[in-house]
Amino acid sequence: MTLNPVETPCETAIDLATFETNARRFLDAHLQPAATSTSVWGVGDDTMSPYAKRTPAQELERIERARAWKQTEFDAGFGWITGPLELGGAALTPDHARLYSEIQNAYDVPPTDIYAISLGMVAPAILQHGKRGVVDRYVEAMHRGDLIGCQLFSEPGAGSDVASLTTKATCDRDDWIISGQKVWTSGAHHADVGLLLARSNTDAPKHRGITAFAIPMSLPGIEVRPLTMMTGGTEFNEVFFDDVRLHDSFRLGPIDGGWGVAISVLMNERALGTGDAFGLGRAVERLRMTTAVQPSNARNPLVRQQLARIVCAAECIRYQALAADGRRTAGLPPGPAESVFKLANTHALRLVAELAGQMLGAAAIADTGEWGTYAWADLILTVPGLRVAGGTDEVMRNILAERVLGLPKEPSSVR
Amino acid sequence: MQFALTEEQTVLQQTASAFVDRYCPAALAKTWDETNHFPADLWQRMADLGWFSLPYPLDWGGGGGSPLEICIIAEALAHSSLDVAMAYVGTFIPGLVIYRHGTDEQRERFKPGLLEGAYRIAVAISEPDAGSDAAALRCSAVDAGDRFIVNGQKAWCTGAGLPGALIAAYVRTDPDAPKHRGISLLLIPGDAQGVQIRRTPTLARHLLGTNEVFFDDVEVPRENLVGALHGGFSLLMSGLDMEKTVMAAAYTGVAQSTLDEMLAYSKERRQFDRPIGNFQALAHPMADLQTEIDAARLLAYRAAWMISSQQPCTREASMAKLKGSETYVAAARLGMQVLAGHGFSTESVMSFRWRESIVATISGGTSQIQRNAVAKSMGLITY
Repeated sequence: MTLNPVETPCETAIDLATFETNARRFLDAHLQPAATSTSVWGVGDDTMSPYAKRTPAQELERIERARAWKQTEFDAGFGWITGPLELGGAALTPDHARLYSEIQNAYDVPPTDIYAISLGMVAPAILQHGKRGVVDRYVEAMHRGDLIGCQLFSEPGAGSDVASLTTKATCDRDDWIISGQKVWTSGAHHADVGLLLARSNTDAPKHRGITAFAIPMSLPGIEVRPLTMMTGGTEFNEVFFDDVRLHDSFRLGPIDGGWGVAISVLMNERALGTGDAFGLGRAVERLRMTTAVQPSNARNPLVRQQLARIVCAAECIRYQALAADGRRTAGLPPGPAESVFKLANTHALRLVAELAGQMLGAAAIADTGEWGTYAWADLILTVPGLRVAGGTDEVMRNILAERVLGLPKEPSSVR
Repeated sequence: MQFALTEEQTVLQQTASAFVDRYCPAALAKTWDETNHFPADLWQRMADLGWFSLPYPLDWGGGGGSPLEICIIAEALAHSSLDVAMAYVGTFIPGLVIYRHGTDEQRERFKPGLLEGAYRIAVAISEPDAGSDAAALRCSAVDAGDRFIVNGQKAWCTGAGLPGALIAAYVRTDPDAPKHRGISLLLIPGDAQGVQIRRTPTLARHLLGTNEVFFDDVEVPRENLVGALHGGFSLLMSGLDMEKTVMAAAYTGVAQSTLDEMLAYSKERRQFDRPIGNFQALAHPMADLQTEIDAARLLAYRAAWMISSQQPCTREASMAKLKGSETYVAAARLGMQVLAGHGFSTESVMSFRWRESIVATISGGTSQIQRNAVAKSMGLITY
């Protein structure tokens, strides 16, 4: 990698002011200012859901745009600001990363959500728990956008109770033989590497017989089948493993110690929701516009009051996210309290979808061709999925009750 | 106070339930919805059982059924899907308007088809700018002596695109009169010259289809005017209590089916070494839901009883529609949470329930309109 003093945030340490100048120079050179069209009714893309239906060609084009941007950003030294130098990172502080993120908001950045799980969960787990060879093989390439990762946790019989998974990993000298099925795997159809949990010891208590692996998705015996969701989108997949042979060097953490890896990953997953990962800010703004363009709703006191409640909730969530950023800046790992963000986000989105449906009536569920109306249908259909993906509302409440509030565990015949 | 059904009503309920199991189970209704398929043979089977003639009096050749008996059928059919139930209800509700307000000639002309459920009568009230405020409709019909010339546009017209559809269009015949007094009802064949029908893509309700209908100088013979000239608004309102009541029963049925489906799943699906239904976090909402469904059913049955005994029941029918539709939405929302990932997959019936439920609080009068009616009965004028 070539480091150019103008385009590079630093070679050693760099103060925030200089970093900001460099970042703005880089972004000015490669991106347009953020379009103001997102706040103008009838202008621009009116898509509302992260799981919107796209043709394969549209999906591929979207990934290629994201990949090109990630590569440009990474090669300029802004792709992994807090990452170690030997893996292509800039070795700067979380303050630098947050500043870059804030500056970036003023630009029209291509959507890079395809990398959210890859960089938010898979790459950190490989970096933290992987052997040197696997780290070298994947982590830098994932941060550069060359490779995409997916998380292979849930199974047909193991959803909220992930530890009851039954996909088997059988040791065969220096290899493992993987057999079983995963489901609800976001982005598996585009992934190059998976973060796999498999049962390596059927005799141990369920949390103690699991081993984690980084697994190349191109290995013989792996089959990925997309699932169609209510929105028509195919974000989720089933993944089948039929005697897949994997070298032990791909193991993450100790044998039978995969649950510890899983916990760290799940905490990172919850932390993903602390920004605007669910699109709440955009949805609230669209709701405001939807109200404003309809005089009968804009004057309706019940609509106005509910809109005000939603805006208040969104503001609280935004401030909580800032507080969480502060904790991360202080070097604290994501913890159970991050569960509140997912709950609060999905609850607020549900209120947004309900009010939009109430205001628009039939226009929200039947396509009249009018901009910004039927587009709500995707969000209305998506909200139930958001409430269960990455931990159901009930699991989130249990985590908050038990680990944050310190309440006793729910009575169970097996505890 | 008597809550039990009569023996005859119990048999009707069992027959309707067996009918759904045999001819239109929920999974099949879902397939029909996904393929925009209108199951004409299902309608013939209903006709063979005399269900379409049931609402008409015995001395006219009908079955002489009471509103409660019609509710029983609608409730049972809704275990298949709301769309199946609404297609049944939508067949006889406009037929009753013709029976009650048509001329002797019209009654005789339409009698065989009405009793056999042969007509696909598509009611056209709403327009792009006239939804909840139906009396604001602008689609015009100019009186040309022996015929009317119709121009304008209708929206959300269910079933207009089916072969042989007869469009019952509420049109403005007197633009100078106050808005409630210048409306008339015309029966317009869907294939008449100048009628253009365009299907509207929707999230659900695909059996009959939702359509925009455009009228461009359509000539309608005067004998197709139902009721008095300019007196259409009273016709429009005349069947609303019955419609809301039967729909409420249908919402109750589909909500019960939705609960039954999530309950079965919650007993079968195990996580943390026990059926998920045994977690209070799911058990209590399902218990609450059953309570809500029972309340909704009682409201629907009360309104049906009031219609039977010829008591005014606008307030009670509105309560029943409000409670039934809101309960169905709540049931589908909870079902999606209980079935979680499986529910979100399009393979599940629950995903179909969720899609279908969203329109429940909108069609046939929004929840806000029902609340207005209830509030008005309490002496509160909210509009």
